[in-house]
Amino acid sequence: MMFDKNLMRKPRSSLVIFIIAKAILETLFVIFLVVSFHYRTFYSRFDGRIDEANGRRVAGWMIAEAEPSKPVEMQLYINDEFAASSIADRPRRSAANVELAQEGAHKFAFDVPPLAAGNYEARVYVVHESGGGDRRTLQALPQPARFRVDAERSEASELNGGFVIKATE
Amino acid sequence: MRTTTGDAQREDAAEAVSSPRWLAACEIMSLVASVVVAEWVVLPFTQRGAELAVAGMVPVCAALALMLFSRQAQGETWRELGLRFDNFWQAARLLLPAMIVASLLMLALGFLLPKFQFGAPRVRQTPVWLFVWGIGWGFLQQFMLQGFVNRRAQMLFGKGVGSIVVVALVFGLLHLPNPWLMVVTFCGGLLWAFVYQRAPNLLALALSHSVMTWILIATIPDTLLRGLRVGYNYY
Repeated sequence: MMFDKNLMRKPRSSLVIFIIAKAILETLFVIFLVVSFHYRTFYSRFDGRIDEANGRRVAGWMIAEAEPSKPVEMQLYINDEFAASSIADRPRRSAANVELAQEGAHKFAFDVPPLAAGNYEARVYVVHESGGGDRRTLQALPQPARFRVDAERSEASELNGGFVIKATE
Repeated sequence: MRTTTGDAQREDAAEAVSSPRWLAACEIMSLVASVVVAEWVVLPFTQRGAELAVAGMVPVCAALALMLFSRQAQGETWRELGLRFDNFWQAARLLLPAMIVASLLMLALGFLLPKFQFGAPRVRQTPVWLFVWGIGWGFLQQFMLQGFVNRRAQMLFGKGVGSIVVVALVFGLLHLPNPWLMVVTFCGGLLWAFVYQRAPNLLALALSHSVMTWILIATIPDTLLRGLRVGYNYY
């Protein structure tokens, strides 16, 4: 296997240095892009809490720290399964904590679909858009809420076409 | 005596590391790395628009800087790289038969494939698009592929099958994960690398690249070519 000697000139050490420098700079560039992407996509800018959770309704409040006035899409998951989505766009005027209302806290409420008797865990996620809407991630509110649906109530709901659930959180 | 032996070993090691063959391999890998960054890292990790354009310029400029710096360091002239007119017809004569055969094959394939269409989206059928694609993009790709990769592959393996296959493999793999485009660019890479080694003329190759690209998008359905998208953009 002979390589072409006519094409071989005197490769300079500067070319070796250039290639190494280029590799370092490109590595730093990639690291910067990845860190920047992670910060913008996954870094949580939301706060909030679930105030009420039962077989009928899950409600609470949230604050989007970056854009407090902007309505935010939220999703409810019960036992890790998607249950409902809603827009948090109502100011929390009746909040006991006035400071939160001033900061731009919004109320959210989900109607819970019919559930069989048992214990449940409700988690509420904020749908966070980044990349000009190209990417959507779910960011969980800090505390999940647990509630129980009684068997009697569950049967009653089947009979009456509605259901009344005792929250046990 | 020990010092002399040590010096000799160090010199041998330095020579091994900076030998043209090692350097040629590193140059090819460095260029490929820039393209991989552009195709697979910039797009998913940036926002479309100005941010994407600016971030995309980084690996493109790095690749161009490497090619220009290397050209100077290796003492290559533009004429040696293929920027010349004297061998244009020689290159064209080598290209033409293979281009005709490839065009007929693509046309036949286009008729055989379901949903045959002259699949070029409307925007690509404008003369401006063809001009930009043919002269600009085709030339840039051939400059990178032949003027840089092919010449360094020859430093590694010499003229012939080995270096031609390396060029075609690099060209094909840079079109991952688009299967149709990978096959087509591998075949195109074989032809263009072969012709470049016999008649290095980038203008003829750029023109051939342009014409073959147009024939490709005019015969093979766009549903298969997926808009010629590569890298992360393919998805």
